[in-house]
Amino acid sequence: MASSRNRSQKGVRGALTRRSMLSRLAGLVAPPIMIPASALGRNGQAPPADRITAAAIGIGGRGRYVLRWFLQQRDVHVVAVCDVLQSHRDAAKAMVDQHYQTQSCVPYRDLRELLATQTDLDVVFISIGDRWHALAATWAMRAGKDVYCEKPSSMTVAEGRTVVDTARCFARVYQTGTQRLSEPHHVLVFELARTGRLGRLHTAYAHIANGPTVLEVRRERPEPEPPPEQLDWDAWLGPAPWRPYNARYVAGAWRGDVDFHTGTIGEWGSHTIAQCLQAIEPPATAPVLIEPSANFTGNGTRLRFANGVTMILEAQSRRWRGACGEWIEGDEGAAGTADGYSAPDVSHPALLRESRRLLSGYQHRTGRALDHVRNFLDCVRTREQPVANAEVMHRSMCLVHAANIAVRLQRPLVWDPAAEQFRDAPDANRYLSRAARGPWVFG
Amino acid sequence: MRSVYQIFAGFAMGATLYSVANVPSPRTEADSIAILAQSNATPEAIEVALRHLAVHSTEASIPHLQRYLRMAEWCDFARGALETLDHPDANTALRQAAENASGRRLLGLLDSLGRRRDELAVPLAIRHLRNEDPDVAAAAARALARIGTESAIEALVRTASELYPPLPAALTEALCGTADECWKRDITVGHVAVVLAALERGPPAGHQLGPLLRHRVVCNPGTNCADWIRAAPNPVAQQIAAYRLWTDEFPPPSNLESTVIADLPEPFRSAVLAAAARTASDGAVSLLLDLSRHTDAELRRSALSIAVRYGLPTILPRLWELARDKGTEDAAHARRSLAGHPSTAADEFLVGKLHTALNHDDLLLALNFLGQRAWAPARDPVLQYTGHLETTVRIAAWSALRDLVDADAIHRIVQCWGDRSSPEENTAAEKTLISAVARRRRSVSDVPLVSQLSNAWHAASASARPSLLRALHQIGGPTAVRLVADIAGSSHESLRPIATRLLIEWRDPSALPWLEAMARTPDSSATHSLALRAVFRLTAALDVSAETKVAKLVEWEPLLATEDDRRAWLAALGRAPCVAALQCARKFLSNPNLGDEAAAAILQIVNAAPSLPRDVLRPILEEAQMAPISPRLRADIEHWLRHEPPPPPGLPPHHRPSIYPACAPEGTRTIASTGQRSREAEP
Repeated sequence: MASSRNRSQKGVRGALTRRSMLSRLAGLVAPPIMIPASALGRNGQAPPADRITAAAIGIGGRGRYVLRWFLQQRDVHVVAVCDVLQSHRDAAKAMVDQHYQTQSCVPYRDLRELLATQTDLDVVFISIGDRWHALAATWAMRAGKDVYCEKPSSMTVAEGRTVVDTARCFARVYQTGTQRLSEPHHVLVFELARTGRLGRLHTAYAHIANGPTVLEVRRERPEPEPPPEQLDWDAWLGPAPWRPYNARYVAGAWRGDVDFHTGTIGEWGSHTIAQCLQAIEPPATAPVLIEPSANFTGNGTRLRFANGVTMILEAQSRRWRGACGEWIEGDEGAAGTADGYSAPDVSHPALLRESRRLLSGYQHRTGRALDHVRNFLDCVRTREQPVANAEVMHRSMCLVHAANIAVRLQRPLVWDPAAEQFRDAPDANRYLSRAARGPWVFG
Repeated sequence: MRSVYQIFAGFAMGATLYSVANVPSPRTEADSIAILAQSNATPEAIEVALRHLAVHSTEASIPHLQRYLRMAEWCDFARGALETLDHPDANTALRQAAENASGRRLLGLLDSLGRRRDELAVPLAIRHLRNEDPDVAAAAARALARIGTESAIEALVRTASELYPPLPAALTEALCGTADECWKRDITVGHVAVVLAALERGPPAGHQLGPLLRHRVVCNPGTNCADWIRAAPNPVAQQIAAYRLWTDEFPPPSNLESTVIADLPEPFRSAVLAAAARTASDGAVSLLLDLSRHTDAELRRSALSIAVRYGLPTILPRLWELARDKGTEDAAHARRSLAGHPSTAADEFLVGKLHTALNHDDLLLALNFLGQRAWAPARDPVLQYTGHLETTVRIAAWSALRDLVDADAIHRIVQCWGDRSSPEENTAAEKTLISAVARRRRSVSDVPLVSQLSNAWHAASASARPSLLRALHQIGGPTAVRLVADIAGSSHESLRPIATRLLIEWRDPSALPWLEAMARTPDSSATHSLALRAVFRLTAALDVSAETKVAKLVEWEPLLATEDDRRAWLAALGRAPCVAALQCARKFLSNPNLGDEAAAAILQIVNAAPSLPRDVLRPILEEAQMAPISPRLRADIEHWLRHEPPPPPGLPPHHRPSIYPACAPEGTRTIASTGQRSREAEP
């Protein structure tokens, strides 16, 4: 004890011992502890405990566009990407890694493998081809993930019902990428209609894409080609019926094909019918009379609701200066908007006088952000229902499918939303589901 | 949004494929059957026939479809046709095919049999519950869950007790599905058996705890939910479990108490509270009220916010109680919540508070909330308070009315338009009146409205009259202009300047005769000059030919006293595109102080009317180029002279198609029919 005190006193006086010298040297040469700024939430990222971990499923052109939206959110951390095409995986991984300045993004070829191994994921965002949307969303929700899925939310009514039931059974937050439901100029139109400023509503116009809608006649298959090694063709097809590979399908020719696409009505109508429904708020369970257009484009198809409002599907219209618009008419005014508008077109300018108040009223009433991705992420935290939740989207997609079926059969049909069936139309009801190809069946 | 280019490229490629060739669609079921019966049918023809039968088949097609079930390439198409065919023989065909199938084909057939709820497929599905291919075993379990007969349930339960633990996820999901089916079909014994089989030895490894636990609570209401939730394998499973307990499918359990909720972490706690609020049951309400008095401020506010979000009216007295405290965070939160409560019960509650308010502060608070909420039926009760003895209450009432009033309320406002001594009250009342006027319907004539305001004018005190003038200005039209002009020419010393100012600011051509009279009156004040400029502005905006406008403007030239007057005059000339205007403007090009204005007017005319004769335009522009004008204007003129635009063809140069085509459907009322907006004919 005494000797140690003596040594210590020497040290205090300044004599340099071997041990004190080593300890001082250690202080000089020891590397500082490096804590990355990201771990402290100082590089524009939220601290790890506050982050929502995410994975991107389907990362082609559209998928990377959505991925960019999510990367911009400071509380989201994308940890994995998944696609059946090698080139898409590589491009998306490079994009994520460059954003975070790491090499940690994990690429997956098989969605099931992603869901089984990435157990800590909070959300997935799905931008694969339309045929896969409902199945991928169902699998992800069964695995306990919240889902942001591109439109359309389903290819058939039965698929849509499965998505709704799964979201409810597993208490998941589900949002479809119908982002116009959260854009201020569209929300303003909904609020003008909802608050009675347009008077008694009578007509709603929903913008649909140009071109023929899907036909029953199968198109001539392009020449079969051997699938490239970097593509899992079987998984690309997923639940759709088998057909041999051709590069044009992957390049975009799947659009307009009944196995992969919901036609011109589904292409834009999956946005715009939902938009019109937000504005006109028809009774949820009352039947809807669907009068198809006299051609296969769907242009001019009318949906008559029990509250007296008629929704007309319009393509090639001068009503809008942009894509995916809606136009709502009432006894006392009219309002509508589309892509590229800064404010809605209205029948008289006084309707826009209270824009700010209406928008803040909407936010106050619903607690929803005027940003679709943000609304979804907020709901992931609060467990509230987002604006384009599974039930809302299923209701509007049912009308998309019903309109498509009426156009195919070329006769008026009565859609019963409560039973999710057509009344007195057994042939039409056979379109409401379709057998999925094994093993890509719904659980 | 997907790029439009991408979408149309896809459609174009699809359309190209379509246009290459297509197989004619069979018209009848017999056509399709005939194709399927041919030994030399092409694959394209077979596929078209099978797709046709998916919608148009009857029992006549079943034998043919059955044959194609055996072919791997066509099995899915044939199965699709049989799956939706309402005939028992379709079940037989699918079962027989499944007997000899394996792998993906078997999986698909089991899936179809399950969807058809074929009770006779139960033995087949039981046999495959232990298939070495896990995907097939899962399909068999799902099929049994969908079929849901006693034997199917028994098979699932037996397999679950033999395999457990660990139970494969597919089997747990199947048990979940079976429990749901039993619940829907009121099969009590099967329900209990399934739930016990899945849960009796502990929570499942996946996320099925929630759905199963919910069923367990139904079987045994005494189940200790909190313990089960804590035992969940991971936070997500825990969250689902808690959430499912409060969904509105089942009666809510009684043993989730506020102390249990308070211990839960976020966002799990909010999720449970939100789900509770959604049920709006008595238990949920008392739970939220309990929590609104909790010591943890965050929890207190969270409970209140959730109750407000779901519009629970029973929370309103508590919110009012909190809102009355001043300066605390809870009070601020409660005030926001009261203003944003989505139910009309909140409006009725506040109107009730208005009538029963015991003190001045309560009255102000209720008026403030009613104003923020803008509930139309609250208008009349609030209007009564504009005649209150206390000035602060009157001001609060006028402010509250601002968003409550529309044109229908104007006569009531005018009735209450009494004497007001306070400037604050005047301002509040005026804003309300202007707000009401702005909300008048365009389809209804303004004449009665002007008459009401005119009557009110005579009854109103001097301090309240300027507001009526401003309201008249807002309405416009010849009658309103005449009333304001009369006052501008009257001996009202205090009102004359206001009326004159309003007349000058008017953009209504009806004001032109009065303004001309004012401008012709020799007056050294600024009013004369302002009136002159208003005359030029309105003359340029008249719906007459450009030549007529110039003729009217030239009449005023001798009265231009100042350079500012001349500038305004030149600007008006620029809006009358004709040769006469050019010649008038040309005279000022050499004036060093007005050259810029003259050149600007000339350029404006040239751009607006390129069809004017070139032999007149060019010399004037060349003269302007040489005049003492700013370099920017000179550059513009030089540019025009160098790149003289070609004269336009027949159509007017700025013709734009209307975005409101006149293609309203028959029997619907268009905006044009209400006179609110004229629709141009569709080009």
